[in-house]
Amino acid sequence: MSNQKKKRYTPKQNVLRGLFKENPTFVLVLGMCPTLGVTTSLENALGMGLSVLFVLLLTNSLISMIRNIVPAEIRIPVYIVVIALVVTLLEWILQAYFITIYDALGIYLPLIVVNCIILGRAEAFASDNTIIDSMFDGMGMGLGFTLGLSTLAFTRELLGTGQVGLFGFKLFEANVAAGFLVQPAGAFLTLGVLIGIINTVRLDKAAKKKAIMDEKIRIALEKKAAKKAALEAQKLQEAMINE
Amino acid sequence: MSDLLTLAFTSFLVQNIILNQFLGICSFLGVSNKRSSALGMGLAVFFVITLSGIVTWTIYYEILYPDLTFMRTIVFILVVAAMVQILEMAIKKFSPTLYNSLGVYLPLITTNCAVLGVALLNIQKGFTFSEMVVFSAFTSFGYTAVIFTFSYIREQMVKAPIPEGFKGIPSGLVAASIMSLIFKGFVGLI
Amino acid sequence: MKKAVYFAVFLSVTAMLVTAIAFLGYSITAPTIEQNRIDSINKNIAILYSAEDGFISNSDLPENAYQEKDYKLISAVYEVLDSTGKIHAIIYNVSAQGRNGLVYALIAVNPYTDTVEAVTYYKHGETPNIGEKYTRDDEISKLLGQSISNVVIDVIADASTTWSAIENMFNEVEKHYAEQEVHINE
Repeated sequence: MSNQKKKRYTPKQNVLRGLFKENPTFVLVLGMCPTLGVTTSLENALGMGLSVLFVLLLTNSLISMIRNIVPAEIRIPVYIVVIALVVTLLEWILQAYFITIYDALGIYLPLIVVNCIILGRAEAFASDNTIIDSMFDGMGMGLGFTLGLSTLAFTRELLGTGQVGLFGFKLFEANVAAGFLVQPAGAFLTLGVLIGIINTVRLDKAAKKKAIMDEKIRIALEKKAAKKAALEAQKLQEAMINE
Repeated sequence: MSDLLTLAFTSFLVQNIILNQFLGICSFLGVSNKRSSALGMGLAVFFVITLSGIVTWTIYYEILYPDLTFMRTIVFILVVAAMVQILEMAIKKFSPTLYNSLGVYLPLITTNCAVLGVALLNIQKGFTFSEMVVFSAFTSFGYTAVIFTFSYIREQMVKAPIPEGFKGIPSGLVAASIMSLIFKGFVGLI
Repeated sequence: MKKAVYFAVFLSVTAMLVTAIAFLGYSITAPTIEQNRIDSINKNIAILYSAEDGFISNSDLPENAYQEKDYKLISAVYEVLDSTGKIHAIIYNVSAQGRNGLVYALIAVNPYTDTVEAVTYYKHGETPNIGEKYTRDDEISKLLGQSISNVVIDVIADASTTWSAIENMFNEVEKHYAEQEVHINE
């Protein structure tokens, strides 16, 4: 067993990490199927996002609880069964008490089972960390996913139909809107453009950061070289004096 | 018979699983960089979807129906995982080169939305056995055809002067949107 | 060997636990789900014939399993009874693939005169001003009174996919009506 201390994130760091730096939709590009499928309106996107958040919280906590009991060789099937159970229970809860969301999500609700985010977080994080940490990580990823979905849905609905159903906010009439944005083709296009913009911003930031680092390194090296030259000049002078 | 032909045509082109139903996007974006890996992945997914469609349909109507239907999702995903495992062992034994080129993508087919999606759709749409076979086979063939065609496009797109932020996945998504528009034209053919 | 036994025991315990929890959840939520379904059926019937006018429904649902579904597009058949208990109309709950998803319709047929009595499209995603024109009252009124064995649907330019969806629905209803001998002699 290595003596390395494992890096522990604070709860706030966990949540923020899932929201921005490792946002599942825009940065990690995971869980694409529901992202494209349910973002025709903001309500559906929020419904899906909150469902995934609910599932993530539960599965991360449960898997973190049983992580020491499960033998390593059969952990993947056990994780899959736990996730499938949670999603099945969610399906019934929605079908019984929130039937509008159930109808809106359609086939994508049971497909939360194979959403790469959930199994990915279970395998990468929850199987190694405490219950509290896993819960906050799940919350961060779930919120990040909801954020990504909502942004995409907001754009598609606003530009595609001219109004946002949830807020009752109308920008322009439906028949002058870019109707194809609520069609499948528009989903691909909007997501591609959004990821492209976010990538450009991130690369820009990274380039600026790198430039500042390079500048600092250059100054430090210059100082070092100057110091070395001064030292040598001093030595030379001493040698001349001693002669 | 003409019903089956219409079903085949619809599931292959009109309601194409990637461009219209949005199932299997993660692997579609991840594997379509090179022609060889795209073809390998497409064929593997074709076999997994068709076989697991048949197996899950049979299990549902022979074993689960009508008392145990509530175990549907759990049983289906376990069947899919088992089929992928079997396929992986088979490929490893019969074609180690293919196994090496597919690498880490093979176990990922388990989490491919398309596989579980088609299995669930078969039940939801109430297909008979022959309809189910036609639907599974042609839907997954739609996946193979689209991912293979797309890999050609992506290989060419690498040579174009695309801005840094748009290289890779964003430009791929824009290309997929144009493909989706093209496939929409098939609606009027039925 | 011991390891394999441990795995087997662990997996069986997990399987039993999971099945038990699933069964528990199912028994808690299933009654509510069933009630929701019945409520939505009554809501759909109320679009055409409301309970205040003295009509009640007598549902006659074909099983949803593939074995018993001979009429693919018809998801349910209801009888609407008037206040004296006499059958007033037969309602077909049909759906067909339109241009942008499924078109859901309720078609009410008068079993004594074999004519179309009422039509409503309660859910669809057809293109506004093109396919959606079929769902408006002026187009629907053209269908009323037509004999169910030969329904003629007007062709609207550019709306051929929606037209074929509606055509398919009426063909299926006609097929069921004829084969199941729904007609009632007065």
